[in-house]
This record gives sequence, structure tokens and C-alpha cells, in this order.
Amino acid sequence: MRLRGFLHKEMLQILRDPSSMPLAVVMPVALLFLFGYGVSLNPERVPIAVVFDDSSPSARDRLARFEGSHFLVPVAVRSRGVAEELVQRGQAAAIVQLQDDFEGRLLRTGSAPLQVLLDGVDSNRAQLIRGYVAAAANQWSAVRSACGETSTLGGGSGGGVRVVPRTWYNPTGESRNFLVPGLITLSMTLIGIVLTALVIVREWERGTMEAILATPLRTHEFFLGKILPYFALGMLGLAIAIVTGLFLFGVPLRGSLFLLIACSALFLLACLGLGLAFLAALPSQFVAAQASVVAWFLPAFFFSGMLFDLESAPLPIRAVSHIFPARYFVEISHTLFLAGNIPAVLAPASLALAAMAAFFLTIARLNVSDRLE
Amino acid sequence: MTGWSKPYAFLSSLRRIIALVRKEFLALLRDPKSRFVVIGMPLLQFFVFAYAATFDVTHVRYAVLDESRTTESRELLARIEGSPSFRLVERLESAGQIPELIDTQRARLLLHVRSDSAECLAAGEPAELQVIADGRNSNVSSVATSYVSDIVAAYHVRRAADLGLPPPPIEVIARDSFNSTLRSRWTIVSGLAATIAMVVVMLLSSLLVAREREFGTFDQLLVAPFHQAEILTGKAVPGASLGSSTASCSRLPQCTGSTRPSAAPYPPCW
Repeated sequence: MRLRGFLHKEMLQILRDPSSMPLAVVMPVALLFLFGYGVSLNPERVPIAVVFDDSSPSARDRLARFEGSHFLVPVAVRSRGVAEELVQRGQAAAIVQLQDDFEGRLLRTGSAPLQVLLDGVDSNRAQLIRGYVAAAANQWSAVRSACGETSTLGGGSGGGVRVVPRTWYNPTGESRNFLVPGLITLSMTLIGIVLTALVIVREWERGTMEAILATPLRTHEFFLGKILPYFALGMLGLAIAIVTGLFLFGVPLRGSLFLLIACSALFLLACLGLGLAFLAALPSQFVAAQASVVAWFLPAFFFSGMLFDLESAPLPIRAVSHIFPARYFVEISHTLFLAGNIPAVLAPASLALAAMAAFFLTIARLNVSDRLE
Repeated sequence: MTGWSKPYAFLSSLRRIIALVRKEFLALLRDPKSRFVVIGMPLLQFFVFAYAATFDVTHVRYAVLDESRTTESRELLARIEGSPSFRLVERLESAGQIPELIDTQRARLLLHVRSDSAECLAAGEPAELQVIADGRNSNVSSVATSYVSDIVAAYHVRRAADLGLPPPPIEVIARDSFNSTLRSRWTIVSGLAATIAMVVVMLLSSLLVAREREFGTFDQLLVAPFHQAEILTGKAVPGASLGSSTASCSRLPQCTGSTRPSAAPYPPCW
């Protein structure tokens, strides 16, 4: 009965507070929009400068080959100087240059070099663009040898090894399918940790905690009453994020929805526990907001593998990442969305989440009783 | 206020601004908590995130299914094994093991050499090397696949030279300007410096004003003989200078030693 009253009070507080609901509802959607539309790791329609001092038919054919590619937009320029200027102004991401007498050399020796200069300022992009250019060049060789041109030149690419790449779970390599499941983690971290920490700290700051202490409310009732409403709020945020991800961004959900919700609940509990255990004791809302962003939100971004691959990170970083619940949830979320129900991945990660949730909630519970008595 | 009509008015205004800036710096640096916010936190974040935020793909765990078991296949696979980007974790016996391997993330890449590869090579037909990547991290899968293609392309050129065959019709020679080894750290760190400096400045300016309000000293400041613009300048200068020094400090590790970017932005090719 007392618990119900307290829950009622908390619900009213959330609903009437101008900042809680928007944070829970608008934030996940805003994050998804921002990252879903704004961040893409797939360069598309990249402008490249093709230095065109050789106007032979073969070279023209080459240019056409680049034009046929969905990824590259060739811009023909007259000289190397112009091309370099384009790159420096950021209007071209790479320079493709054919050596003088490209055609002649190809006919004489059966092989001609093709120079590609990439703008390494964005290293990841440069890496991918190099792959695109190489693919366009290979395609061109394949077409020419199919036309019998290069075979008459003496074997050409015959006897080579052809790489046949297949990307499972994400055949087109669409980065959105990889980013959106990770973003769900980020927005739930935000709701779970930041919101709870702020609210409890506010209660102390405004002196309303004294009022609660004066009521016959028991410690465990206070604890439950603080967790349940924010848990519900977090699950609402999750639902919005999942629906947006599935229907607006078209991310596939290959695993079971039930498992996703269950694992999210575990993750949310771990976050709530974390927020209550370490942040609720801070002196002011300002400090609590700072601490939650610096200590939990940014690590959820950098140490979780949602954007940066953890396995390529140095060993200390990998070790540290294990203490953040976000890491496990990102793994679960990627697997459930893209790969399906795979117990070998899901079981250890969800066990880790459950252990963390239990651990942090226990600490939070002890903290609360310490402070209330 | 008469504006800047007389030279001494400008000078005395400057003096007031300097006094205010000095006061703000003292207030910031004497309080250990804000000292940590200003100096400790950005440095800590910078170092931790500079190491964590990497798009470089290294130590990709991969498995091999070599059905051909010939000298050629072994030579090609040895080239991949020798690359620091890859780490061999398993050798499979049959294609049936592939789904489980990738599903459970025991390996993120599988290289499959078909049994007829050697015959194809001997017959002068292209032999297929199937590369299966775990697309859960789309970036790692595409970069790792392109590494494999690069290694295979190098193998081609070498093999053609060894056997006296004509080289492939088009040899793509790629060079990366500005960042010759394509270290993602260079890209990210230069952006990180700006981001962290931005956070520091925002935090500082809010701290400077919020704290005055909290302690009630803001009203004192308002009744002091300051023009509004002077207060604004005095409050902005400490944040701006500390922010820009944070940004410059974060460039230091990048510009020392062997990691300095090469002098020639456009390396020559031939």
C-alpha cells in the first residue's frame, strides 16, 4: 500500500517534470536519427579526380568504368596540379592517374600501372575508397579479358586467384545495420544512468528527501519505488528505439524479440544499479550530470564496441571494457539484430549482465540504507 | 558609458578586463575540484579515448579451410598468416563447420580454398578464394576483406614474376597522402582535440557563471564598475585560453618522435 502510494508519487513526478519524459522519449529517437542518418561508415558517390593526359580509347573506357560504379563519381581533370588542388580543397577524395602512354604500354607489355593517390586525412574512408578503386580496376580487366583483348596479349590475368568476398549477416556491408543496434545501448545507458542519478540527487538537493524520510516508507520500498518507474521509462525508450530501428531504418531483427527485451531488461537493471550505487551520493545535480556523462556515458560510447572495434584496441582498453555493462549489451544487440539466437554468444554476455545487475543493485541497496538510517 | 571615444577610457577598460580575467583564473585554479575539471579530466579523456577510438583493424581472428592442400594454397595462406592484421585461430576440416564458427564469433573471417584451385591455376583459369566475413561489425568486415584482396593482389604479382607469366593487365599502385600508413589514430586524435576542447570550454563557462550565482557573488559583480561587455569578455577569456591550451597540448604526442606525418604530402609513385 505504501509502496503504491510512493510509486504513484514517482509516476506523477516523472509525468509532470518537463525534463524526464522528453529525455526518455525524444532522446533515443534523436540519437537514432542523428546517427542513423548523419553517421555512415560507407562512403558513397565519392568524387575522385581522374587525371586525363592520355585520351586514348582505353583510357576513356576506364573513365566510363568508374562512372558505372555506384560508389565513385569521377571528375576528369587535365593535369595533376588541378587534381591536387581538388584534393586539398576537399572536393575529391582520391586522384587516379594513368601513366603517359597507358594504352601503348598495355598493348606492348600486357600490363600497365594505375596510380591511385588517396586523401589519408580520413584514414578509414581512404581504406574503403582504395578498395572501390581496386574493384573498378579489376572489373575493367575482367571485361577486357572477356572481350579477348588481354588474352591476345599473352595470358593476362589467367591463372590468378579471384577473391570472392561474402559478408554474412550484413551482405551489403551497410553501416547503419551495425550502428543502430549499438545506439539502442547508448540511449538506454542515458536513460538508466543519467536520469536516475539526476532524480535522486535532486531529491537531496531540494531537501525533499527529508520529507520522504519523515514518512513511514521502508527502505526497500523507497528503493523499489525509485527503480520501478525508471525501469518502465527505460523500457519505453527501448520500445521506441526498436520500433524506429526496425521500421524507419529497416534494420533486420533476426533473433527473437523476447530475448532482446529480456536482455535489455537485464542491461537496464545494471544501469539503474550503477546510477543508484555511485552517482546518487553526489552532492549536486551539476556534478552528478558531469560524472555520469564522463564516467559512464562516454565509456559506453568508446569502450563498448558500438562504433570502435574492441578487438583492435590495445590490451589495457580491452581489459577495462569488461567492467562496463554496455560492452556486453552491444554484443547481445548486434548478435540478436543481425545474426540471430546464438546461445554461445548470448549466454555468457547475458550472464555477465545479470551478475552486474545483481552486484550494482546490492551496492545501491546498501548505500540507500546507509544514507536513510 | 561614453564608448571608446577617449584613449584612456579604452585603457582603463582593458585594465578592468585584465583584473577580472586574473580573478577568474585564480578562482578556477585555486579550487582543487575545478582544477581537476580543467586540467586533469581533459588529459585523462584524451589519452584513454585516443587509445580506445581506433578504426584500425588488427589481429582479426580468422580460420582457414584449405581443401586444396597444395604448395600454391599454402603459399598464399602463409602470406596472410604473416600479416600483422590477422591472427589464425583455427584450421577447419569441412565446410559444415563454417556456420558455427562464424555464428559463435570464434573467428571473424574465414578463408576457403576450394579443392579444385590448383587445377584451375594450372589450367590458367581463375581459382576462387572464398572469404566469409562476420558482418556484425560492418567496418571490420569490409576493411579485413580489402586487406585480403591486397595480399592476394601482391601474391599475384609475385607469382606472375616467378613463373615468367605476364603480370595482371592493370596494376593498381595506391599511395595515401597526408597519412601514409592510414593510421586512424591520426584522424581521430586531431578531431578528438577539438571535441575535448569544446567540452572543456562549455563546462568552464557554465561553471564560472553558475558558481557565481550559487554563491550569490554574481550580484556583486553586477554592481562593480564593469560594463556588460567587460564582464562577458572577462568570463570568456579564461575559458577560451584554457580550451585552446588543451587543444594544443593534445597535439603534442602526435607531433613528436616517429609518428610525425611525413613531409611529402603527395608521395611519388613512379
